[in-house]
Amino acid sequence: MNSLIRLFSICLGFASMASGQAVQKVIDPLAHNQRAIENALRCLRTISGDSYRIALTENWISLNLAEIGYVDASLKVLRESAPHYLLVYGCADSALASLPYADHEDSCSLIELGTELLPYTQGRGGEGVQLQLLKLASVLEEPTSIKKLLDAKRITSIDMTESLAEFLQDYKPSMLNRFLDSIMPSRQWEIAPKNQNHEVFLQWTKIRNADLYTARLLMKVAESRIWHQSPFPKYWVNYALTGVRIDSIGAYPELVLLGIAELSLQEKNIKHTIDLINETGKRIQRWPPQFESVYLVERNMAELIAKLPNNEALRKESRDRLVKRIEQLNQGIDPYGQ
Amino acid sequence: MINLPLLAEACHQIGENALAQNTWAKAVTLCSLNPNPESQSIGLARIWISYGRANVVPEEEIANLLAQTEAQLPLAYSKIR
Repeated sequence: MNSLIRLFSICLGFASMASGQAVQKVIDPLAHNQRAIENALRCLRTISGDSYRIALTENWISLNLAEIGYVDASLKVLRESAPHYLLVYGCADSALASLPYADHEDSCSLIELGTELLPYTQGRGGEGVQLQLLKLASVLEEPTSIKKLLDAKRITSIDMTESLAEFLQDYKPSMLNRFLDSIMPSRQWEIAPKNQNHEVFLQWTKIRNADLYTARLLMKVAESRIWHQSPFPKYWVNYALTGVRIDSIGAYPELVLLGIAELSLQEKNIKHTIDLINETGKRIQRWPPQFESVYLVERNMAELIAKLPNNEALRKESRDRLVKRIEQLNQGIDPYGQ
Repeated sequence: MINLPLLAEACHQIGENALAQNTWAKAVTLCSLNPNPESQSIGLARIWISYGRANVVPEEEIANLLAQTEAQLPLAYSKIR
């Protein structure tokens, strides 16, 4: 009961710290089953065994808490976890998810925790997540975190100064770059290398994923601007739209598409939102059931559809797809999900 | 057990409540039958968070099964240690 009250107070406290009426709508304490959240947190602490699986689950719970507004609780989950290199990704993902409405201090705490845990990524390709944290710290204008993350080159052996400068050109492009982007929108998005060895392809994938992360981040920053009733530059949306329509692998482009759709919905551009949802639906139609990201995309898409007025056609399409997905899962890919 | 709760949430969001409850029930049943307590703990956490997100209270029978699965975890862990 005490923890239930605590969760409630976190929620109310967070809402009172945030500014603007729109912010409070997201953090509606009645919109979530708090008893269930409390149960999830209790069950999370019963997991014992493989540290990789534990960290994955902690990241998942933390991300979900961040998405529904319990940023403080999300941070607590990660902070109380046994240190693991995967948790750095959890910090970056939770900070990104909570960006539109989180208190500045909470977002910075997530980035700080990620930076503290960065040494655990040594030898595991931590430069990708280091750059994600650096981008987050830059949009939050946190000089201390930026400095710490740039100094972390001792851990990952990679100097991020150039990558940061490139990101800042996407975030706040110069007049010349804005002009060049307007006449050649895809100039920054290299197409997938053909007839090249695996190493070249991997390098391209890393760069592409980093750019798509930038697109997701820009959409979240734009969303945050809408919540706080301030304008955002339209070239962010053009950047993201160009990125999702060029070769890539994984589910990032679809998540970016949904990010753009969410933004469009908040701008009350219903037609564009529906077009983007339809585009996402078409893209995921042929994804196999073994590709687990499909379930996340389906869930996020359904959440968006639910917010749309007169959405019968979309609901029906979504229902048909969901029924098919459930059947496929019931036929058993791995019945215990082990 | 891992993916079904996401689909259940999606069904609930688009107003297919019966389908959503059935899908959650299936996930909970799979979780309770899982022979690995570690997987059960993970399943329980993920199922509960999905109920939390969707603001749904599980049906009584399902809530009992969730409670039973959680209650037998210490014994299940003790058998594999």
